[in-house]
Amino acid sequence: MALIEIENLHATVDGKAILKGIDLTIDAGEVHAIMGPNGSGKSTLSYVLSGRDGYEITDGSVKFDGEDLLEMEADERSRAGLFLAFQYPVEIPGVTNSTFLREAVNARRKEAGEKEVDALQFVKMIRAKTKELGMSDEMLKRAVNHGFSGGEKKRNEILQMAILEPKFAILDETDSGLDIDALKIVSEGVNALRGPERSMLVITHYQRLLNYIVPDKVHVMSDGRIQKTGGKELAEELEANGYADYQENAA
Amino acid sequence: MSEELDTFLTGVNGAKQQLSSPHLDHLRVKGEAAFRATGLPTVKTEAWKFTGIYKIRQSNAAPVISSADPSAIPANALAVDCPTVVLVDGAISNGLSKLDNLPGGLTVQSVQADDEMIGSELPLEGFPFASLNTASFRDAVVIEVAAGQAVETPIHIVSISTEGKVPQITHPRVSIRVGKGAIAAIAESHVGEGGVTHSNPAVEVTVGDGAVLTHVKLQDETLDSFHTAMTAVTVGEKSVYENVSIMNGAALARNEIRTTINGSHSETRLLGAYLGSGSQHLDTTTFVDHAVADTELDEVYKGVLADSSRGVFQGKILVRPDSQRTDGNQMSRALLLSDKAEVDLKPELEIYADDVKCSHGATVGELEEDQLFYLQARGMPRAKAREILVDAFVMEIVDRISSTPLRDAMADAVRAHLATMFK
Repeated sequence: MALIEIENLHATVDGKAILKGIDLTIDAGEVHAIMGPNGSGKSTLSYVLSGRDGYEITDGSVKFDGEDLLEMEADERSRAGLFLAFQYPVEIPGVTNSTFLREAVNARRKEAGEKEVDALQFVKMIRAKTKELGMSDEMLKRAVNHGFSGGEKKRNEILQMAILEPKFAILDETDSGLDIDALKIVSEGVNALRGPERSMLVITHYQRLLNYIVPDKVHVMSDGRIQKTGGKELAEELEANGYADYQENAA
Repeated sequence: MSEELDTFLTGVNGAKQQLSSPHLDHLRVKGEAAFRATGLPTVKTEAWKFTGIYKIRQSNAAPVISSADPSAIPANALAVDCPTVVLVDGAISNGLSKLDNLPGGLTVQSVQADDEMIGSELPLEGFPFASLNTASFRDAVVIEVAAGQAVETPIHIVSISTEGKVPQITHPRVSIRVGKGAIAAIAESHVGEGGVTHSNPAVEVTVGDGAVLTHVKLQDETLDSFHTAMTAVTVGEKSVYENVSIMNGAALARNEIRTTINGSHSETRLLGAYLGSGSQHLDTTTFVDHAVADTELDEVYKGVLADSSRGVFQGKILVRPDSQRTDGNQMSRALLLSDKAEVDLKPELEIYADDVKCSHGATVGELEEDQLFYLQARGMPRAKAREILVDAFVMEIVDRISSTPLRDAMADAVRAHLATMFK
């Protein structure tokens, strides 16, 4: 069953067309990868899906679990089960990581009419998950992403995903800035979250990540469109030949 | 104008009937003379150019002769379980105060007839509301911490403005004396019951040599009220004075703090935040006089202004010619949460010594869109996301309160206020 259905999606930024007709359907439990050169519109797609301001949708539709995604605010999308792992996680000085995560959990509980958790209950709740990702309790006491290394920031994104248990996760260049050890830890974290109910969209420039997170389908994106769709072997082909063919296609 | 000055002084005789001695009457006369000589400020008065008092003049508030005690301390006062002295419309309430079993070395009482120190710290000429308070106070709280005493528990002063049939003006008066080498933590809560009130407190503070005083203030008067406060402090040698003032309430408030650093190797911290919404006008004005050499000042004020509220910060630092090796830093930051909110920041350094380290900075900004989106992308509604970021901005001040019970109580008060701002 389709969890997310993107049809003919067009979007502009400051009047400039970036997405020029994206068609993409992801079934529940599937992991899809989008690969493409810089400037192809990959990150724009992730922001448009997660509801960031500054993008104008000029045509097309997105259905998420049967609902009109584009009608929802960013926070509503998140509570409905969409998760964006940021390419550049934002630093928030003055807000501790544990407060931030707890507020995220409580926003969901509040909407569900459940009792909010206090600081102490929350630390107990997430202890096992922080351990799995090799994160110390100390990291929870620090300000959100503030002074974190690149690897710590990405692990923090995956920790949030593990805690929020989304139906659909978009991983935007999660591999960027990671050394091989960090890449393994992050990938293990992601793989642990794969399940029949959860879909993922892995956006990446390189095939490397897909050795660790093996996708069901690979899409090549260029010039705001999906140019080709295939199995995981398509990623290897791209690694060998580069994006030149598709960029010519686009031109 | 003199007729209008008479109106403001109508409380003097009533106050004199309640509290009088040759010494105190002499002080009143000086206060009245200074008030008449100074007159009411206008926007042409340099020290008041960002804060007009038209609404205060228009309120035509009447002095309070007597008032019934409220049934309890209003819930928005700081919640601290400690010795508490309550002023109701400027007079000590024995019923609401809780002053039994005071620790040794601490006295909290109404001013004595022959008290020589009252009035010694407070400037009069040029300061209309401090002068008016000095002419008009009908009671005064005197808190003394004996030399060498470390008082573990905080001491709480609650000033309550009651609701009258007509607008009312009151003149709460406090004198705090921390002896040589003593340690104390004192909090003030300024709250009201409703109606149009004008609270005009004057607080004098003497920090003895080697003493450590944490001094916290919460101003959360009702939104129809006015608050014009003067706090005058003298800081002694090798002492530490920490003032943390949070202003949440009142239609129009001015919190003025004048600190004379009179002892070398002392540390002075002036910290504060003002949180405005609706059409509130919140003014923080500070003056620090580095009167001797080798002193430190750390001054940080933060403003959060929503709706069409307006903030003012004026901070002047004076370094006298012989005050070498002064280390003074002032920072003033404001967040504007709406297009209609406004702030005026006026740092001012006047330095006559040549071997000093002094800095000042002022910034005005908005909440960062990246941070708001990150919070929203994790499910927090936009209003909650704003609240979380503003909380972090303000807690940087609250977290610096050295006394744990006062820090916790202030954090609760600020969070309760933020919850109403972002609901």
